[in-house]
Amino acid sequence: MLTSGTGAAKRALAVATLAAMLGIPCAAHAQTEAERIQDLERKLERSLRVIDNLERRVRELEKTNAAATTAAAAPAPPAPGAPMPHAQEERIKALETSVAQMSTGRDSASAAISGIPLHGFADVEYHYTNLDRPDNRRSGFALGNLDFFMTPEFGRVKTLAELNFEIESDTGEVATDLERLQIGYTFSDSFTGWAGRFHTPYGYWNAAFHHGIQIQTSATRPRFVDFEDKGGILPAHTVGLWGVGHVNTGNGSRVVYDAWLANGSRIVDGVLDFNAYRDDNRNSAVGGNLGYRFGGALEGLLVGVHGLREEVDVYGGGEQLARTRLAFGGGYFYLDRDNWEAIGEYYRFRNADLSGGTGTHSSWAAFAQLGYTFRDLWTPYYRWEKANLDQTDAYFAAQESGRSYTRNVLGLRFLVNPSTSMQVEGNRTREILGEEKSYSELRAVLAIRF
Amino acid sequence: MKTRLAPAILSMAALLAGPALADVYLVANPSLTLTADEVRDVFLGEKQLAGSVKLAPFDNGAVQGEFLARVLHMDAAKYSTLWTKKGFREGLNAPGVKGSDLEVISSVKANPGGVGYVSAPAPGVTVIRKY
Repeated sequence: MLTSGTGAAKRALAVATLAAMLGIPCAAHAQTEAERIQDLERKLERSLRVIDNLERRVRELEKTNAAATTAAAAPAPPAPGAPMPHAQEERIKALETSVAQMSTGRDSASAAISGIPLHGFADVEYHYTNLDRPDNRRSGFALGNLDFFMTPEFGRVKTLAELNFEIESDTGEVATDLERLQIGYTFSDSFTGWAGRFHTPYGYWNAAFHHGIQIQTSATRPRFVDFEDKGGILPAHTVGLWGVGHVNTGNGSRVVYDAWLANGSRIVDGVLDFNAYRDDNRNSAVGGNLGYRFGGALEGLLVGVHGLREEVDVYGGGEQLARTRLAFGGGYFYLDRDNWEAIGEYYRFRNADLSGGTGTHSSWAAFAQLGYTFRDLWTPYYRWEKANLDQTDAYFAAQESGRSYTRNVLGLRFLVNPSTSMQVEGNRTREILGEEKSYSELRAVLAIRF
Repeated sequence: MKTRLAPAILSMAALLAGPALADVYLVANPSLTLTADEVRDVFLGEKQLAGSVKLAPFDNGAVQGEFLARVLHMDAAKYSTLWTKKGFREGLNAPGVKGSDLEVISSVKANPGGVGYVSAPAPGVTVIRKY
Protein backbone atom coordinates (compact mmCIF):
# COMPACT_ATOMS: atom_id res chain seq x y z
CA MET A 1 0.00 0.00 0.00
CA LEU A 2 1.31 3.50 -0.88
CA THR A 3 1.71 6.11 1.85
CA SER A 4 2.39 9.86 1.89
CA GLY A 5 5.88 9.34 3.40
CA THR A 6 7.08 7.63 0.34
CA GLY A 7 5.72 10.15 -2.17
CA ALA A 8 9.02 10.88 -3.92
CA ALA A 9 9.92 7.29 -4.34
CA LYS A 10 6.39 6.54 -5.53
CA ARG A 11 6.54 9.21 -8.11
CA ALA A 12 9.97 8.09 -9.39
CA LEU A 13 8.87 4.50 -9.57
CA ALA A 14 5.60 5.44 -11.24
CA VAL A 15 7.35 7.61 -13.78
CA ALA A 16 9.81 4.85 -14.63
CA THR A 17 7.04 2.31 -14.86
CA LEU A 18 4.86 4.46 -17.04
CA ALA A 19 7.78 5.30 -19.25
CA ALA A 20 8.62 1.67 -19.68
CA MET A 21 4.97 0.79 -20.27
CA LEU A 22 4.38 3.49 -22.77
CA GLY A 23 7.72 2.67 -24.44
CA ILE A 24 7.96 6.07 -25.99
CA PRO A 25 11.30 6.58 -27.70
CA CYS A 26 12.80 10.00 -27.00
CA ALA A 27 13.74 10.70 -30.54
CA ALA A 28 10.27 10.05 -31.81
CA HIS A 29 8.79 13.16 -30.19
CA ALA A 30 9.36 16.80 -30.69
CA GLN A 31 8.70 17.56 -26.97
CA THR A 32 11.62 18.53 -24.81
CA GLU A 33 12.72 16.25 -21.98
CA ALA A 34 11.40 18.67 -19.30
CA GLU A 35 7.95 18.97 -20.87
CA ARG A 36 7.60 15.20 -21.04
CA ILE A 37 8.49 14.82 -17.39
CA GLN A 38 5.97 17.47 -16.33
CA ASP A 39 3.26 15.77 -18.38
CA LEU A 40 4.00 12.40 -16.81
CA GLU A 41 3.96 13.92 -13.31
CA ARG A 42 0.45 15.32 -13.87
CA LYS A 43 -0.80 11.95 -15.04
CA LEU A 44 0.79 10.33 -12.02
CA GLU A 45 -0.91 12.79 -9.65
CA ARG A 46 -4.32 11.92 -11.11
CA SER A 47 -3.62 8.19 -10.80
CA LEU A 48 -2.61 8.52 -7.16
CA ARG A 49 -5.84 10.39 -6.34
CA VAL A 50 -7.87 7.62 -7.95
CA ILE A 51 -5.93 5.02 -5.95
CA ASP A 52 -6.49 6.90 -2.69
CA ASN A 53 -10.23 7.13 -3.35
CA LEU A 54 -10.44 3.43 -4.13
CA GLU A 55 -8.54 2.60 -0.94
CA ARG A 56 -10.99 4.58 1.21
CA ARG A 57 -13.96 2.91 -0.47
CA VAL A 58 -12.53 -0.56 0.15
CA ARG A 59 -12.04 0.21 3.85
CA GLU A 60 -15.64 1.40 4.18
CA LEU A 61 -16.99 -1.69 2.49
CA GLU A 62 -14.90 -3.99 4.70
CA LYS A 63 -16.27 -2.33 7.84
CA THR A 64 -19.88 -2.63 6.64
CA ASN A 65 -19.50 -6.28 5.69
CA ALA A 66 -17.93 -7.24 9.02
CA ALA A 67 -20.78 -5.66 10.95
CA ALA A 68 -23.38 -7.48 8.89
CA THR A 69 -21.66 -10.86 9.35
CA THR A 70 -21.49 -10.46 13.12
CA ALA A 71 -25.16 -9.54 13.32
CA ALA A 72 -26.18 -12.59 11.31
CA ALA A 73 -24.03 -15.02 13.31
CA ALA A 74 -25.27 -13.98 16.73
CA PRO A 75 -28.70 -12.39 16.70
CA ALA A 76 -29.74 -10.76 19.90
CA PRO A 77 -32.19 -12.99 21.76
CA PRO A 78 -35.64 -11.51 22.15
CA ALA A 79 -36.60 -10.40 25.60
CA PRO A 80 -38.72 -12.90 27.55
CA GLY A 81 -42.35 -12.50 26.64
CA ALA A 82 -41.52 -10.32 23.68
CA PRO A 83 -43.34 -11.18 20.43
CA MET A 84 -41.42 -13.35 17.97
CA PRO A 85 -39.60 -11.30 15.39
CA HIS A 86 -41.55 -11.19 12.19
CA ALA A 87 -38.71 -12.65 10.12
CA GLN A 88 -38.28 -15.60 12.46
CA GLU A 89 -42.02 -16.30 12.49
CA GLU A 90 -42.04 -16.26 8.72
CA ARG A 91 -39.15 -18.71 8.58
CA ILE A 92 -40.92 -21.14 10.96
CA LYS A 93 -44.11 -20.93 8.91
CA ALA A 94 -42.14 -21.58 5.77
CA LEU A 95 -40.50 -24.59 7.42
CA GLU A 96 -43.88 -25.97 8.54
CA THR A 97 -45.27 -25.50 5.06
CA SER A 98 -42.28 -27.28 3.63
CA VAL A 99 -42.71 -30.25 5.97
CA ALA A 100 -46.42 -30.40 5.21
CA GLN A 101 -45.74 -30.35 1.51
CA MET A 102 -43.11 -33.07 1.83
CA SER A 103 -45.46 -35.21 3.88
CA THR A 104 -48.51 -34.66 1.68
CA GLY A 105 -46.44 -35.10 -1.42
CA ARG A 106 -45.09 -38.39 -0.15
CA ASP A 107 -48.63 -39.59 0.71
CA SER A 108 -49.98 -38.81 -2.71
CA ALA A 109 -46.87 -40.13 -4.37
CA SER A 110 -47.19 -43.46 -2.61
CA ALA A 111 -50.69 -43.97 -3.93
CA ALA A 112 -50.55 -42.33 -7.31
CA ILE A 113 -46.97 -42.70 -8.43
CA SER A 114 -45.24 -45.31 -6.35
CA GLY A 115 -48.14 -47.73 -6.82
CA ILE A 116 -50.07 -49.94 -4.45
CA PRO A 117 -48.29 -51.72 -1.58
CA LEU A 118 -47.87 -55.38 -2.40
CA HIS A 119 -48.13 -57.98 0.36
CA GLY A 120 -47.88 -61.70 0.31
CA PHE A 121 -46.84 -65.04 1.71
CA ALA A 122 -44.39 -67.70 0.68
CA ASP A 123 -43.39 -71.06 2.09
CA VAL A 124 -41.17 -74.01 1.38
CA GLU A 125 -41.22 -77.39 3.09
CA TYR A 126 -39.79 -80.81 3.62
CA HIS A 127 -42.48 -83.49 3.64
CA TYR A 128 -42.44 -87.16 4.53
CA THR A 129 -45.35 -89.60 4.47
CA ASN A 130 -45.58 -93.34 4.78
CA LEU A 131 -48.75 -93.35 2.68
CA ASP A 132 -48.29 -95.32 -0.49
CA ARG A 133 -48.43 -93.16 -3.59
CA PRO A 134 -48.68 -94.36 -7.18
CA ASP A 135 -45.76 -92.12 -8.21
CA ASN A 136 -43.66 -93.24 -5.23
CA ARG A 137 -43.07 -89.61 -4.11
CA ARG A 138 -43.19 -90.19 -0.38
CA SER A 139 -40.63 -87.67 0.80
CA GLY A 140 -38.60 -84.69 -0.28
CA PHE A 141 -38.46 -80.95 -0.50
CA ALA A 142 -41.28 -78.99 -2.03
CA LEU A 143 -42.35 -75.47 -2.76
CA GLY A 144 -45.49 -74.37 -1.04
CA ASN A 145 -47.22 -71.20 -2.18
CA LEU A 146 -46.10 -67.85 -3.46
CA ASP A 147 -49.08 -65.67 -2.76
CA PHE A 148 -49.39 -61.97 -3.60
CA PHE A 149 -52.22 -59.74 -2.50
CA MET A 150 -52.88 -56.04 -2.77
CA THR A 151 -55.56 -53.78 -1.35
CA PRO A 152 -55.95 -50.55 -3.31
CA GLU A 153 -58.48 -48.10 -1.88
CA PHE A 154 -60.22 -45.23 -3.63
CA GLY A 155 -62.09 -43.45 -0.89
CA ARG A 156 -64.89 -45.78 0.14
CA VAL A 157 -64.26 -48.11 -2.77
CA LYS A 158 -61.99 -51.00 -1.84
CA THR A 159 -60.36 -53.73 -3.86
CA LEU A 160 -58.68 -56.95 -2.87
CA ALA A 161 -56.76 -58.90 -5.48
CA GLU A 162 -54.78 -62.05 -4.71
CA LEU A 163 -52.67 -64.12 -7.06
CA ASN A 164 -51.29 -67.48 -6.03
CA PHE A 165 -48.57 -69.65 -7.54
CA GLU A 166 -48.06 -73.22 -6.44
CA ILE A 167 -46.61 -76.48 -7.69
CA GLU A 168 -49.11 -79.15 -8.66
CA SER A 169 -48.36 -82.20 -6.52
CA ASP A 170 -49.16 -84.69 -9.29
CA THR A 171 -47.46 -83.03 -12.29
CA GLY A 172 -44.84 -80.74 -10.75
CA GLU A 173 -46.06 -77.93 -12.97
CA VAL A 174 -46.55 -74.38 -11.75
CA ALA A 175 -50.21 -73.55 -11.33
CA THR A 176 -51.43 -69.96 -11.27
CA ASP A 177 -54.67 -69.03 -9.61
CA LEU A 178 -56.51 -65.74 -9.36
CA GLU A 179 -57.25 -66.56 -5.78
CA ARG A 180 -59.40 -63.52 -5.06
CA LEU A 181 -60.67 -60.55 -6.98
CA GLN A 182 -63.24 -58.55 -5.09
CA ILE A 183 -64.39 -54.96 -5.32
CA GLY A 184 -66.28 -53.45 -2.42
CA TYR A 185 -67.88 -50.32 -1.08
CA THR A 186 -67.86 -49.28 2.57
CA PHE A 187 -71.37 -48.01 3.27
CA SER A 188 -70.68 -47.71 6.99
CA ASP A 189 -68.68 -49.44 9.71
CA SER A 190 -71.67 -51.78 9.97
CA PHE A 191 -71.80 -52.79 6.33
CA THR A 192 -69.33 -53.30 3.51
CA GLY A 193 -70.56 -54.87 0.31
CA TRP A 194 -68.24 -56.90 -1.92
CA ALA A 195 -68.67 -58.41 -5.36
CA GLY A 196 -66.34 -60.89 -7.01
CA ARG A 197 -64.39 -63.93 -5.91
CA PHE A 198 -63.69 -64.24 -2.19
CA HIS A 199 -62.78 -66.75 0.50
CA THR A 200 -66.01 -68.32 1.71
CA PRO A 201 -66.46 -66.91 5.21
CA TYR A 202 -67.75 -69.97 7.09
CA GLY A 203 -66.19 -70.72 10.45
CA TYR A 204 -63.05 -68.79 11.27
CA TRP A 205 -60.10 -70.52 9.62
CA ASN A 206 -60.94 -70.34 5.93
CA ALA A 207 -61.25 -66.57 5.62
CA ALA A 208 -58.73 -65.65 8.32
CA PHE A 209 -55.70 -67.71 7.24
CA HIS A 210 -56.27 -69.39 3.89
CA HIS A 211 -52.86 -69.27 2.08
CA GLY A 212 -51.27 -67.27 4.90
CA ILE A 213 -49.29 -70.05 6.54
CA GLN A 214 -47.04 -67.53 8.29
CA ILE A 215 -49.99 -66.05 10.21
CA GLN A 216 -51.46 -69.38 11.27
CA THR A 217 -49.98 -71.40 14.07
CA SER A 218 -49.94 -74.78 12.38
CA ALA A 219 -48.22 -75.85 9.19
CA THR A 220 -51.39 -77.32 7.72
CA ARG A 221 -55.09 -76.61 7.56
CA PRO A 222 -57.60 -79.04 9.01
CA ARG A 223 -58.15 -81.50 6.19
CA PHE A 224 -61.89 -81.17 5.69
CA VAL A 225 -61.65 -77.36 5.42
CA ASP A 226 -58.62 -77.55 3.11
CA PHE A 227 -58.81 -76.29 -0.47
CA GLU A 228 -61.22 -78.03 -2.81
CA ASP A 229 -58.42 -79.88 -4.67
CA LYS A 230 -56.39 -80.64 -1.53
CA GLY A 231 -58.83 -82.73 0.46
CA GLY A 232 -61.46 -80.16 1.41
CA ILE A 233 -65.12 -81.08 1.26
CA LEU A 234 -66.51 -77.53 1.27
CA PRO A 235 -66.27 -74.68 -1.24
CA ALA A 236 -63.31 -72.70 0.11
CA HIS A 237 -63.86 -70.05 -2.56
CA THR A 238 -67.01 -68.35 -3.76
CA VAL A 239 -67.94 -66.06 -6.64
CA GLY A 240 -70.83 -63.71 -5.97
CA LEU A 241 -71.93 -61.04 -3.50
CA TRP A 242 -70.75 -60.73 0.09
CA GLY A 243 -71.87 -58.41 2.85
CA VAL A 244 -69.75 -58.05 6.00
CA GLY A 245 -69.72 -55.76 9.01
CA HIS A 246 -70.08 -55.38 12.73
CA VAL A 247 -72.25 -53.61 15.26
CA ASN A 248 -70.79 -52.34 18.52
CA THR A 249 -72.65 -53.46 21.61
CA GLY A 250 -70.60 -51.55 24.17
CA ASN A 251 -67.61 -52.29 26.37
CA GLY A 252 -65.56 -53.19 23.32
CA SER A 253 -67.86 -56.05 22.35
CA ARG A 254 -69.41 -56.32 18.92
CA VAL A 255 -71.63 -58.50 16.80
CA VAL A 256 -69.92 -59.51 13.58
CA TYR A 257 -71.56 -61.01 10.54
CA ASP A 258 -71.07 -62.23 6.97
CA ALA A 259 -73.80 -63.00 4.46
CA TRP A 260 -73.29 -64.15 0.89
CA LEU A 261 -75.24 -65.00 -2.22
CA ALA A 262 -73.19 -66.69 -4.93
CA ASN A 263 -72.77 -69.35 -7.56
CA GLY A 264 -73.47 -72.78 -6.22
CA SER A 265 -70.83 -75.49 -6.54
CA ARG A 266 -70.69 -78.66 -8.60
CA ILE A 267 -68.63 -81.85 -8.40
CA VAL A 268 -66.73 -82.82 -11.53
CA ASP A 269 -64.78 -86.07 -11.77
CA GLY A 270 -64.47 -86.38 -8.02
CA VAL A 271 -63.40 -82.80 -7.22
CA LEU A 272 -65.54 -79.99 -5.84
CA ASP A 273 -65.67 -77.02 -8.22
CA PHE A 274 -67.06 -73.75 -6.89
CA ASN A 275 -68.09 -72.50 -10.34
CA ALA A 276 -65.74 -69.56 -10.80
CA TYR A 277 -67.31 -68.83 -14.17
CA ARG A 278 -71.11 -68.65 -13.94
CA ASP A 279 -73.37 -71.22 -12.36
CA ASP A 280 -74.17 -74.62 -13.83
CA ASN A 281 -77.65 -74.57 -12.33
CA ARG A 282 -80.03 -71.85 -11.23
CA ASN A 283 -79.79 -72.57 -7.55
CA SER A 284 -77.46 -70.12 -5.91
CA ALA A 285 -75.51 -70.64 -2.73
CA VAL A 286 -76.77 -68.77 0.32
CA GLY A 287 -74.63 -68.60 3.43
CA GLY A 288 -74.28 -66.72 6.67
CA ASN A 289 -71.97 -66.31 9.64
CA LEU A 290 -73.00 -64.55 12.83
CA GLY A 291 -70.50 -64.06 15.63
CA TYR A 292 -69.96 -62.23 18.88
CA ARG A 293 -66.56 -60.80 19.68
CA PHE A 294 -66.22 -60.17 23.39
CA GLY A 295 -64.71 -57.09 24.95
CA GLY A 296 -63.80 -56.38 28.55
CA ALA A 297 -62.83 -59.37 30.68
CA LEU A 298 -63.32 -61.80 27.80
CA GLU A 299 -61.53 -59.71 25.17
CA GLY A 300 -59.92 -61.95 22.56
CA LEU A 301 -62.78 -64.46 22.42
CA LEU A 302 -65.01 -64.86 19.38
CA VAL A 303 -67.90 -67.32 19.17
CA GLY A 304 -70.34 -67.75 16.31
CA VAL A 305 -72.70 -69.82 14.24
CA HIS A 306 -72.61 -70.41 10.50
CA GLY A 307 -74.51 -72.13 7.73
CA LEU A 308 -74.65 -72.74 3.98
CA ARG A 309 -77.28 -74.06 1.60
CA GLU A 310 -76.99 -74.78 -2.11
CA GLU A 311 -77.80 -77.41 -4.72
CA VAL A 312 -74.83 -79.30 -6.07
CA ASP A 313 -74.86 -81.30 -9.27
CA VAL A 314 -72.49 -84.23 -9.69
CA TYR A 315 -70.89 -84.85 -13.08
CA GLY A 316 -68.82 -87.78 -14.31
CA GLY A 317 -67.69 -88.57 -17.82
CA GLY A 318 -69.43 -85.45 -19.02
CA GLU A 319 -72.86 -86.47 -17.71
CA GLN A 320 -74.87 -85.30 -14.75
CA LEU A 321 -75.05 -88.18 -12.29
CA ALA A 322 -76.79 -86.75 -9.26
CA ARG A 323 -78.12 -83.65 -7.54
CA THR A 324 -77.83 -82.98 -3.82
CA ARG A 325 -78.99 -80.12 -1.67
CA LEU A 326 -76.01 -79.35 0.55
CA ALA A 327 -77.08 -77.84 3.85
CA PHE A 328 -74.91 -77.41 6.91
CA GLY A 329 -75.09 -75.46 10.10
CA GLY A 330 -72.74 -75.30 13.01
CA GLY A 331 -70.65 -73.20 15.30
CA TYR A 332 -67.11 -72.05 15.92
CA PHE A 333 -64.92 -70.24 18.39
CA TYR A 334 -61.57 -68.47 18.33
CA LEU A 335 -59.52 -67.34 21.32
CA ASP A 336 -56.37 -65.23 21.19
CA ARG A 337 -55.42 -64.08 24.65
CA ASP A 338 -52.57 -64.23 27.16
CA ASN A 339 -50.37 -66.30 24.83
CA TRP A 340 -53.14 -68.88 24.36
CA GLU A 341 -54.64 -69.56 20.99
CA ALA A 342 -57.60 -71.90 20.61
CA ILE A 343 -59.78 -72.48 17.59
CA GLY A 344 -62.60 -74.91 16.92
CA GLU A 345 -65.24 -75.41 14.25
CA TYR A 346 -68.21 -77.75 14.00
CA TYR A 347 -70.28 -78.60 10.92
CA ARG A 348 -73.52 -80.58 10.95
CA PHE A 349 -74.69 -81.69 7.50
CA ARG A 350 -78.28 -82.48 6.47
CA ASN A 351 -77.91 -83.14 2.77
CA ALA A 352 -80.96 -84.08 0.70
CA ASP A 353 -80.78 -86.36 -2.31
CA LEU A 354 -82.72 -84.55 -5.04
CA SER A 355 -82.19 -87.07 -7.82
CA GLY A 356 -81.90 -90.58 -6.35
CA GLY A 357 -84.70 -90.49 -3.80
CA THR A 358 -82.56 -91.76 -0.93
CA GLY A 359 -83.80 -89.07 1.40
CA THR A 360 -81.79 -86.89 3.77
CA HIS A 361 -78.34 -87.85 5.04
CA SER A 362 -76.70 -86.68 8.23
CA SER A 363 -72.98 -86.23 8.68
CA TRP A 364 -70.68 -84.12 10.78
CA ALA A 365 -67.12 -82.84 10.92
CA ALA A 366 -65.19 -80.91 13.53
CA PHE A 367 -61.75 -79.86 14.65
CA ALA A 368 -60.22 -78.18 17.68
CA GLN A 369 -56.71 -76.77 18.02
CA LEU A 370 -54.90 -75.44 21.06
CA GLY A 371 -51.54 -73.70 21.30
CA TYR A 372 -49.54 -71.73 23.85
CA THR A 373 -46.68 -69.35 23.07
CA PHE A 374 -43.60 -69.26 25.29
CA ARG A 375 -41.28 -66.25 25.39
CA ASP A 376 -43.10 -64.86 22.31
CA LEU A 377 -41.15 -67.40 20.21
CA TRP A 378 -42.11 -71.02 20.76
CA THR A 379 -45.65 -72.33 20.24
CA PRO A 380 -46.31 -76.02 20.73
CA TYR A 381 -49.77 -76.96 19.49
CA TYR A 382 -52.14 -79.87 19.15
CA ARG A 383 -55.11 -80.35 16.84
CA TRP A 384 -57.79 -82.98 16.71
CA GLU A 385 -59.90 -83.48 13.58
CA LYS A 386 -62.72 -85.83 12.78
CA ALA A 387 -65.12 -86.18 9.85
CA ASN A 388 -67.97 -88.66 10.06
CA LEU A 389 -69.41 -88.57 6.55
CA ASP A 390 -72.32 -90.69 5.30
CA GLN A 391 -71.06 -92.57 2.26
CA THR A 392 -74.60 -93.02 0.92
CA ASP A 393 -74.76 -89.24 0.56
CA ALA A 394 -73.96 -88.47 -3.10
CA TYR A 395 -72.29 -85.18 -2.06
CA PHE A 396 -69.58 -87.03 -0.13
CA ALA A 397 -69.53 -90.25 -2.12
CA ALA A 398 -68.79 -88.34 -5.30
CA GLN A 399 -65.78 -86.51 -3.82
CA GLU A 400 -62.40 -88.21 -3.73
CA SER A 401 -61.79 -86.59 -0.35
CA GLY A 402 -65.29 -87.22 1.02
CA ARG A 403 -64.23 -90.01 3.36
CA SER A 404 -64.58 -90.28 7.08
CA TYR A 405 -61.33 -89.84 8.94
CA THR A 406 -59.72 -89.00 12.23
CA ARG A 407 -56.48 -87.06 12.51
CA ASN A 408 -54.26 -86.01 15.39
CA VAL A 409 -51.73 -83.28 14.76
CA LEU A 410 -48.83 -82.26 16.97
CA GLY A 411 -46.45 -79.45 16.09
CA LEU A 412 -44.07 -76.73 17.18
CA ARG A 413 -43.89 -73.27 15.71
CA PHE A 414 -40.82 -71.06 16.12
CA LEU A 415 -41.08 -67.39 15.32
CA VAL A 416 -37.74 -66.40 13.77
CA ASN A 417 -38.93 -62.80 13.58
CA PRO A 418 -42.37 -61.23 13.18
CA SER A 419 -42.33 -62.00 9.45
CA THR A 420 -40.70 -65.44 9.46
CA SER A 421 -41.74 -68.68 11.10
CA MET A 422 -40.69 -72.31 11.15
CA GLN A 423 -43.12 -75.13 11.84
CA VAL A 424 -42.34 -78.75 12.48
CA GLU A 425 -45.48 -80.83 12.47
CA GLY A 426 -46.43 -84.46 12.50
CA ASN A 427 -49.81 -86.09 12.16
CA ARG A 428 -51.38 -89.51 12.30
CA THR A 429 -54.47 -90.11 10.18
CA ARG A 430 -56.94 -92.97 10.22
CA GLU A 431 -59.12 -93.04 7.14
CA ILE A 432 -62.03 -95.28 6.35
CA LEU A 433 -62.50 -96.15 2.70
CA GLY A 434 -63.98 -99.62 2.47
CA GLU A 435 -61.07 -100.93 4.48
CA GLU A 436 -59.48 -98.84 7.19
CA LYS A 437 -56.03 -97.44 6.59
CA SER A 438 -53.71 -95.34 8.70
CA TYR A 439 -50.73 -93.26 7.75
CA SER A 440 -48.38 -90.69 9.19
CA GLU A 441 -46.89 -87.48 7.86
CA LEU A 442 -44.07 -85.20 8.95
CA ARG A 443 -43.50 -81.66 7.74
CA ALA A 444 -40.94 -78.93 8.32
CA VAL A 445 -42.13 -75.62 6.90
CA LEU A 446 -40.36 -72.28 6.55
CA ALA A 447 -42.81 -69.47 5.90
CA ILE A 448 -42.58 -65.73 5.44
CA ARG A 449 -44.90 -62.81 4.96
CA PHE A 450 -44.16 -59.48 3.41
CA MET B 1 -22.94 -44.83 56.64
CA LYS B 2 -26.68 -44.67 56.00
CA THR B 3 -26.49 -41.06 54.89
CA ARG B 4 -23.75 -41.95 52.39
CA LEU B 5 -25.66 -44.92 51.04
CA ALA B 6 -28.99 -43.16 50.57
CA PRO B 7 -27.97 -40.86 47.69
CA ALA B 8 -26.14 -43.72 46.01
CA ILE B 9 -29.20 -45.97 46.25
CA LEU B 10 -31.43 -43.21 44.91
CA SER B 11 -29.05 -42.61 42.02
CA MET B 12 -28.93 -46.31 41.24
CA ALA B 13 -32.73 -46.51 41.34
CA ALA B 14 -32.99 -43.56 38.99
CA LEU B 15 -30.57 -45.22 36.60
CA LEU B 16 -32.43 -48.51 36.73
CA ALA B 17 -35.74 -46.75 36.16
CA GLY B 18 -34.48 -45.67 32.75
CA PRO B 19 -35.38 -42.56 30.81
CA ALA B 20 -38.75 -40.94 31.32
CA LEU B 21 -41.29 -42.03 28.72
CA ALA B 22 -42.79 -39.46 26.40
CA ASP B 23 -46.42 -38.44 26.72
CA VAL B 24 -48.77 -39.57 23.98
CA TYR B 25 -51.50 -37.23 22.76
CA LEU B 26 -54.25 -38.55 20.48
CA VAL B 27 -54.98 -35.86 17.91
CA ALA B 28 -57.48 -35.48 15.11
CA ASN B 29 -58.48 -33.05 12.43
CA PRO B 30 -60.62 -30.27 13.98
CA SER B 31 -63.56 -31.26 11.76
CA LEU B 32 -63.83 -34.66 13.52
CA THR B 33 -65.59 -35.53 16.76
CA LEU B 34 -64.13 -38.75 18.09
CA THR B 35 -63.71 -40.34 21.51
CA ALA B 36 -60.49 -41.96 22.65
CA ASP B 37 -62.10 -45.40 22.32
CA GLU B 38 -63.07 -44.61 18.75
CA VAL B 39 -59.52 -43.53 17.94
CA ARG B 40 -58.34 -46.82 19.42
CA ASP B 41 -60.78 -48.64 17.12
CA VAL B 42 -59.44 -46.68 14.15
CA PHE B 43 -55.91 -47.95 14.83
CA LEU B 44 -57.24 -51.48 15.32
CA GLY B 45 -59.00 -51.40 11.94
CA GLU B 46 -62.46 -51.57 13.52
CA LYS B 47 -63.57 -48.08 12.54
CA GLN B 48 -63.22 -46.64 9.06
CA LEU B 49 -65.76 -43.82 8.94
CA ALA B 50 -66.82 -40.87 11.07
CA GLY B 51 -70.19 -39.98 9.64
CA SER B 52 -69.51 -39.60 5.96
CA VAL B 53 -65.81 -38.90 6.39
CA LYS B 54 -63.31 -41.66 5.54
CA LEU B 55 -60.82 -41.78 8.40
CA ALA B 56 -57.10 -41.64 7.68
CA PRO B 57 -54.98 -42.80 10.63
CA PHE B 58 -51.28 -41.93 10.77
CA ASP B 59 -48.76 -43.82 12.87
CA ASN B 60 -45.92 -41.80 14.39
CA GLY B 61 -42.67 -43.74 14.23
CA ALA B 62 -41.11 -41.48 16.87
CA VAL B 63 -43.56 -42.49 19.62
CA GLN B 64 -45.14 -45.66 18.25
CA GLY B 65 -43.75 -47.83 21.04
CA GLU B 66 -45.37 -45.70 23.74
CA PHE B 67 -48.63 -45.52 21.78
CA LEU B 68 -48.86 -49.28 21.31
CA ALA B 69 -48.02 -49.99 24.95
CA ARG B 70 -50.29 -47.40 26.55
CA VAL B 71 -53.23 -47.15 24.16
CA LEU B 72 -53.48 -50.45 22.31
CA HIS B 73 -51.72 -52.60 24.94
CA MET B 74 -49.65 -54.58 22.46
CA ASP B 75 -46.16 -54.68 21.01
CA ALA B 76 -44.99 -53.84 17.50
CA ALA B 77 -44.91 -57.47 16.36
CA LYS B 78 -48.51 -58.08 17.37
CA TYR B 79 -49.58 -54.78 15.80
CA SER B 80 -47.93 -55.79 12.53
CA THR B 81 -49.61 -59.20 12.57
CA LEU B 82 -52.97 -57.63 13.37
CA TRP B 83 -52.78 -55.41 10.29
CA THR B 84 -51.56 -58.27 8.09
CA LYS B 85 -54.67 -60.23 9.12
CA LYS B 86 -56.89 -57.18 8.63
CA GLY B 87 -55.49 -56.61 5.18
CA PHE B 88 -55.73 -60.26 4.22
CA ARG B 89 -59.29 -60.85 5.40
CA GLU B 90 -60.94 -57.45 5.11
CA GLY B 91 -58.87 -55.66 2.48
CA LEU B 92 -57.88 -52.87 4.87
CA ASN B 93 -54.66 -50.90 4.64
CA ALA B 94 -52.51 -50.25 7.69
CA PRO B 95 -52.13 -46.62 8.87
CA GLY B 96 -49.58 -44.53 7.03
CA VAL B 97 -46.35 -44.14 8.98
CA LYS B 98 -44.88 -40.69 9.66
CA GLY B 99 -41.48 -40.03 11.14
CA SER B 100 -42.13 -37.19 13.57
CA ASP B 101 -44.70 -35.12 15.44
CA LEU B 102 -44.41 -32.37 12.85
CA GLU B 103 -45.19 -34.74 9.99
CA VAL B 104 -48.16 -36.26 11.82
CA ILE B 105 -49.54 -32.82 12.71
CA SER B 106 -49.15 -31.68 9.11
CA SER B 107 -50.92 -34.76 7.74
CA VAL B 108 -53.73 -34.62 10.30
CA LYS B 109 -54.28 -30.94 9.53
CA ALA B 110 -54.24 -31.53 5.79
CA ASN B 111 -56.64 -34.51 5.81
CA PRO B 112 -60.31 -34.07 6.86
CA GLY B 113 -60.28 -37.60 8.26
CA GLY B 114 -56.81 -37.31 9.77
CA VAL B 115 -56.15 -39.06 13.09
CA GLY B 116 -52.79 -39.54 14.77
CA TYR B 117 -50.75 -39.34 17.93
CA VAL B 118 -47.86 -37.10 18.96
CA SER B 119 -45.59 -36.49 21.93
CA ALA B 120 -46.57 -32.83 22.30
CA PRO B 121 -49.76 -31.01 21.32
CA ALA B 122 -49.70 -28.40 18.59
CA PRO B 123 -52.12 -25.76 17.35
CA GLY B 124 -54.38 -26.62 14.44
CA VAL B 125 -55.45 -30.11 15.62
CA THR B 126 -57.88 -31.37 18.26
CA VAL B 127 -56.30 -33.14 21.22
CA ILE B 128 -58.62 -36.01 22.12
CA ARG B 129 -56.78 -37.47 25.06
CA LYS B 130 -53.38 -37.55 26.73
CA TYR B 131 -51.85 -40.86 27.86
